[in-house]
Amino acid sequence: MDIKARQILYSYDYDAVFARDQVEIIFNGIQIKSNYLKIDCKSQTAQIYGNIELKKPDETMQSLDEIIINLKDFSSQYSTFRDGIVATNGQGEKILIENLKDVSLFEKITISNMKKSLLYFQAGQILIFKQFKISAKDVYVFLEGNPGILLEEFDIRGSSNAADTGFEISQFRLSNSQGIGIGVKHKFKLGENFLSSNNIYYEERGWIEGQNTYERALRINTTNTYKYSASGNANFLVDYDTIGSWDIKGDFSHKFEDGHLIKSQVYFFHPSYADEELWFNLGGGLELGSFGSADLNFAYEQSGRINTDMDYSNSITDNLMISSQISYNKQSANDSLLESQMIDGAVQVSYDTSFISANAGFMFNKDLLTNTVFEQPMFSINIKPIKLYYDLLTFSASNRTIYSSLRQPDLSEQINFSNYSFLSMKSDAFELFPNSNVSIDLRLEQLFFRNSGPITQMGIVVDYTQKLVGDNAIHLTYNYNTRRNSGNWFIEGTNTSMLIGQLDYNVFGFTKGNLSFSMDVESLELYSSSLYLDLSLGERWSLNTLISYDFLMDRINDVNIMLKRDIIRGDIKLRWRQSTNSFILEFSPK
Amino acid sequence: MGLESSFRMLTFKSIVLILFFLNLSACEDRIFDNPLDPDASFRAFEIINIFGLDPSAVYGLTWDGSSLWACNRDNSSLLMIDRLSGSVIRRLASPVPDPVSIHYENEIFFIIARNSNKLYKMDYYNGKILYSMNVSLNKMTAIAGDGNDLFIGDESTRQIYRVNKETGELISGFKYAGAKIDGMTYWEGYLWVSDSSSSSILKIKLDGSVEAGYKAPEQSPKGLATDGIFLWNADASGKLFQLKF
Repeated sequence: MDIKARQILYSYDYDAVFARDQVEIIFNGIQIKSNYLKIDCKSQTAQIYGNIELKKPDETMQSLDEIIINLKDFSSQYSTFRDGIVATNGQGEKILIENLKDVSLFEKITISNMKKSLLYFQAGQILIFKQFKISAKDVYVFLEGNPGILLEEFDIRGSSNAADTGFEISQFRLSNSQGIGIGVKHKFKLGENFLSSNNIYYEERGWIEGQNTYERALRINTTNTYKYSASGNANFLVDYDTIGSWDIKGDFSHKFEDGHLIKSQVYFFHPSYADEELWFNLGGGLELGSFGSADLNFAYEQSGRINTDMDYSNSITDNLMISSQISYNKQSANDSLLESQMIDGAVQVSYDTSFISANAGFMFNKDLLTNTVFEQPMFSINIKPIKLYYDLLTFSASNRTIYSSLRQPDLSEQINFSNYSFLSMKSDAFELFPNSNVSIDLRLEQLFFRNSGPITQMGIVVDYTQKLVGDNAIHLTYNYNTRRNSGNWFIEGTNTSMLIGQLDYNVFGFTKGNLSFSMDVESLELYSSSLYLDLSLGERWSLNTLISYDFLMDRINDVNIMLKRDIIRGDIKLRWRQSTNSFILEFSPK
Repeated sequence: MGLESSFRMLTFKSIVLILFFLNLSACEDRIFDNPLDPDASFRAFEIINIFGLDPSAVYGLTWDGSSLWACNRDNSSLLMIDRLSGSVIRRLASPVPDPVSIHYENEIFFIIARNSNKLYKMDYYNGKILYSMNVSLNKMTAIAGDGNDLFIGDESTRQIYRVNKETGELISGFKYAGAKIDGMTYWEGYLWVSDSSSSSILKIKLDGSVEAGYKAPEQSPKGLATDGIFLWNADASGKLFQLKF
């Protein structure tokens, strides 16, 4: 597609073209003249309007009002008219209206927006190639509205369209602690069933002082998925880095109509620092109808490592469920790994009604090399939340008992026993004063450990919010906890109480943020304070500041400052952090 | 209307009453040596503060120099927690599902996730994965670092390995003395490991021998981190404890 006009702008921020005055477009033998042209490069759609003259090969001239063209395949699938306007051709014949398209995506492509872009190009002629690469002649480069150099011929847009196929920069970062990092993503889609996604990440750290690992590295990761049917797919994955490691993984999974699943995987890992690993994995899921369901996995590595596990679950009745897991792992010692051989198992029975739920479980582990055995039965019972006072108050309660035993040869058995109960009362937010909300959360707990006296804990959290004018509001949270040795008449123990306050402010949308503090209520000693400030610096720039002060240490805890430039398809950010004295410049696409 | 107004008054009076009782002078602090375990091997800790957390966000604590971070496994997010108020002040979506542990170093997060043998390196600011490394471990549950290398606990073998943070190489390892590795942090030359199977926190030398064992402040200790002064421990019940040793 060849485009000429008195003024053509391409904005990097919007990824769009805007042309005006004596616009001339030639593609596939079709010639169009108009006053304006807009192209949204991401969707590859063009809008042409204003005194259109269209001439197809061997056809007479047509006068139209507006054309929306799908440029994905450079076909002439076009001729839609907005607002029901029916145009006539040179012979006065009405042209059929079809495929009325949504033109809202062109609303953002205005001369004003284009010129507010961080980076835009102005040219007299551009050429658009397949994959939407755009070349321009006699190009002026504008950075933040300021004209830069003049280039005779320049590719102002690479061949990419991230939605389907092509390259895109996934990130760029420059920091004094991690160096330079550039990430590029490549996608390739073939039909509806094949998708290839590739990530390339380059790091340069040679210039960092004290760098003692590697100076630079390139890491490539590729994932290829072939969906051969609605119930199955195959994946092929490769990882490579220039430090010396690479791996290849191929997997396949298929789900049958009756719910059974089969999956397999072959994985080869070649690290530069250790022996190669070749894994074969086979697994699946069985739907056993009224007998429940089971998952099985078996993995074998050529040096003799084995990981295998089986899960089973079944709802015996609507209220009663049983589940169990068992696994076996074995590995031999080599340069990296220690020897191990272990069996793990667990079984759990759950009973659930609308009023109460109960769980009983047993965990088991045996180290077959050292003959160490761990066993842990547990039981818990929970009373489901009870709503009172027209659902304004919610009560709930729970009790959990855990017993565990660790038996090691030549050592005495280690037995642990604990019991934990809690009773809680929570209120929904309610209006105490006009434009205010209050909620209360009260919790009473009892904890008991073997060889130790019982501990009683009580905690209360009161949240209060007072709405002010506009988006301004005050939030107060009171948090009190007391923890006492109830076996010794509650004499021993500690209390903690804290008040946290926050003022949210928004001054005409120009600046918004919050100011918060926390303090000990009993001693009235301030703990900390923080200020978050979001300052708008024009339409596209903003400054964010977060300062926190530690009153206990009497010092500034941290300062974070971020200068941000919104470039529509991403952000450019410059950050500085005081506590680590680090800066980072980054570009992150949205 | 009448019911609502009497409810408000009742609630208001209840708050005043509760606050009054809570501040009884008889309940002044009295610190005992070890609040929970007289059999503990060493001088015990003091509970400095208790904060409430979402019970699904008690995994893999880490300290970033000014705040704490925790993994929320239910909605796969990472939460920044103010150390002085316990409030969640920032939230990042985890780039990997079901994150179990996190470690911060030099504007980078190292993350491990359930059912994955990958070690993910993530940008501290924007939450994007920079790249991932293969680690030859089957069930990683906790991660910590000493500034040079990482330490990763593998629950399927009950072993803890020193791992190269740039390549994922297993440098050395030792057998863990407990049964579960729920949380881990490196502090003053020791690894501190929380073990929910025995409701304890173990202080372990880098050769694997246990230096000291402490009863955890609650039944199921999970995430563990240090800010250099205090040890922070999150419990499955949804509490965050600030502990002074």
